[in-house]
Amino acid sequence: MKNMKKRILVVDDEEGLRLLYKEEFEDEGWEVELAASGEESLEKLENEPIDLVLLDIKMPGMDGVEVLRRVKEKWKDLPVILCTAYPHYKHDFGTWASDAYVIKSSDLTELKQTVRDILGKKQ
Amino acid sequence: MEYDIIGKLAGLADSGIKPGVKLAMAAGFFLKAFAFDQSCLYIREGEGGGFTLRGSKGSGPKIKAYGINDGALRLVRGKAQPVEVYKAKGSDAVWNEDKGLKGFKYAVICPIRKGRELDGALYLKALERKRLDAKGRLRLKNAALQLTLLLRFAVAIKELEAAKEELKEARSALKDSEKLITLGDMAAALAHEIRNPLLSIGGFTARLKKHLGAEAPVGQYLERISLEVARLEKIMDGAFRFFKESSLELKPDDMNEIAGSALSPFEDELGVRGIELKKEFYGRRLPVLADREQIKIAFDNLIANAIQSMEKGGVLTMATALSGNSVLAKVADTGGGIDAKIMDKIFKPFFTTKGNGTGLGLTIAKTIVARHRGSVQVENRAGAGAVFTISLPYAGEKEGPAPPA
Repeated sequence: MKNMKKRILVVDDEEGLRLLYKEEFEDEGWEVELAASGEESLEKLENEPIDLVLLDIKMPGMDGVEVLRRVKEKWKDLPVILCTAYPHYKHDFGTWASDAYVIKSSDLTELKQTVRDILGKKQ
Repeated sequence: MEYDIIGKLAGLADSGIKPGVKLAMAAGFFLKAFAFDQSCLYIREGEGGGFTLRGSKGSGPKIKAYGINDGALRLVRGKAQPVEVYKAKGSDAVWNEDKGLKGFKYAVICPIRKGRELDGALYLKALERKRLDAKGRLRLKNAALQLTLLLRFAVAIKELEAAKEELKEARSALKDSEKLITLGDMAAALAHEIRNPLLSIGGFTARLKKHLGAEAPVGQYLERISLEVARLEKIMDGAFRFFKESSLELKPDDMNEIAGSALSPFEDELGVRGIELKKEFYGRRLPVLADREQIKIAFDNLIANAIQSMEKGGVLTMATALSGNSVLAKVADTGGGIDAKIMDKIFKPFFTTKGNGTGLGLTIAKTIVARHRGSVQVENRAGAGAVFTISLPYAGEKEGPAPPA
């Protein structure tokens, strides 16, 4: 059971942020997979067990809203946290299917708490 | 004294007469100078195009346009000299084919050239057979050359005019686009570009702090970086929250209700800070067309400023009123007022007197109210306090402001 760390897939086109999230969430005790685009994230989801998706909305190519739609179509119960710099997406119907909506901030406290709430206590 | 066609043409080229009129006049000069019955000037329209009648004088049939190989015009292709054509002199085929020569007995066709290209042709037609002598031919040749110069001059002027017009249009388009690039668009675009790198900087600074521990010698530097990043993020948030092209949703509303709902989140804070709240609301409904959430943001900023100006307590007065066709809402503080020196700057973006202010609060308030076709006025009571007044157009019945309760 010790090796059953929960695994987060971070989807963000910004390299710095991917790296930051990886380190921060690994410190939190999660395993972290990275995807630099919507397309890559779907590929990873097909091939690897993922417990939670942290999804940026504004990305070149397939955006987060579209990824969210496809994820919820295929893996209905997989939690998705939408994470974006843009508060106005909150009014976009497409984002309503997400399990949480977090405005990006350099202070990751809220985001980490949201992840803990969804995945349960740190293991 | 011989008719001075060269001088006439030269004078015409140099005149301010419209190009179209110039050509008709030039055609007339030729008619007079060489005693023909009709004169038609054809100009080539664009590269490889046909020839169009652009000026004529005299009576008889006129053809509106010739193709490059049509009629007698083709006789001057590749020629520098005028070509004479007679009826019934072996050139009958050409003569009969060229409907423009019908009824005439003699014609001279002058090529107008630009280098090897034929730019146009001048038809001079006579009802009777005649013949130009050597001197006459030379004169015609020179006049045709002068006409060529006149045409080139006209073309150059036309191109100049077109370029001027184009420039004018481009300028006006630029002006329009400049208007479209509002402060809001710029703020949103800038925020967009800066946001992600900023998060990286802040996030990694936090990690550095964590790794080095709070007591590390560089701890204070890292703390400074974190603070500045947080400040920048706050500014970005401000830019996002209000400047994004969120459309206004204007609905009939009551200014009393809006002001009340804007005030209520602050009421606890007022108590804590020892600020007395005075509400002086108008006794009746104050109908306005407003996007309540947006107007509340404007109030938020005014109330927050008022509270911050009264660090040692004071009185916050919130009042609403009807004045003519305007619905007014005042936020007054007793925080000592605004320094007269900065009065003209307070609505400017990024201007702030507070250490941690974004300098966007009043800009945002003013922008939001302006989008409602209203205004924000400030009244400074030096030494006492400031009064900010939001004014929105009254949106009730024209006759009387108050419907019977």
